[in-house]
Amino acid sequence: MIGRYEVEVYNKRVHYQLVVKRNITVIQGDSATGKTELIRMISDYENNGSSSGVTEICEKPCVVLGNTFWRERLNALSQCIIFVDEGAASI
Amino acid sequence: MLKIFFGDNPGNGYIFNTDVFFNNSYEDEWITADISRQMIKDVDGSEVKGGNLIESPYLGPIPPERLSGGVKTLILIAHDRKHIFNGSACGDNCARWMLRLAENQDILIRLGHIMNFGCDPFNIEVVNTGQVVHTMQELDEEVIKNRLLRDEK
Repeated sequence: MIGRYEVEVYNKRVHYQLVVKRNITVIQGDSATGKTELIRMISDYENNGSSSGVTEICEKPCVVLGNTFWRERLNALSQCIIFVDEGAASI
Repeated sequence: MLKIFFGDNPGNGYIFNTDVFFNNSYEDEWITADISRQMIKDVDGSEVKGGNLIESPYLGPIPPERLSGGVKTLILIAHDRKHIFNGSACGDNCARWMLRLAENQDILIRLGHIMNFGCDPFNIEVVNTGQVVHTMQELDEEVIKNRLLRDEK
């Protein structure tokens, strides 16, 4: 997938706004700067939608790739922004 | 002294996903220990209220499971001597705590990258070669010269 996409994810406590415009984007930073929290919120929204309490605004669906059947799932995914945390087997 | 194995597999007892391991193995006393309180305050900016409650300025009251992956790794390093932990789960803001934890005892961690240990002199043993380094330049040269992070597959 190519192009430039704005991603906004927020709940009552934290608010993320970022732009991705590369095939692979690495979000890096010190510990406790919210990297895993972003993944968790995206996962909550992916699994529960708006009833998760998370609001997600993005032109494309955002999904989290975990450890379970990640190869099969990756092959099936299309036209979405995939988030992978550092502890995932796929890394 | 802090001892670092650079590469993928430092040996028996190695824990890659320190976040998951911590969630399933931490003790309440580990959270309330003085060194843990200091690390949680410095790295996460949070106050320990008890063995099961931490007050975060960003997330509000949270259980230990929602501490940052870096501070979880530090707490494991401080309290669990049976395992070798993945130091690459930590950001550079954890580096000074790794050095401090190793001031009075030998601690072995694994790194898959060159962590920034700062400008002050230190003592770190690069386990792969046995060389003891004292500055970031020496550390960089030892890792790069010996290709310790090169994927040999």
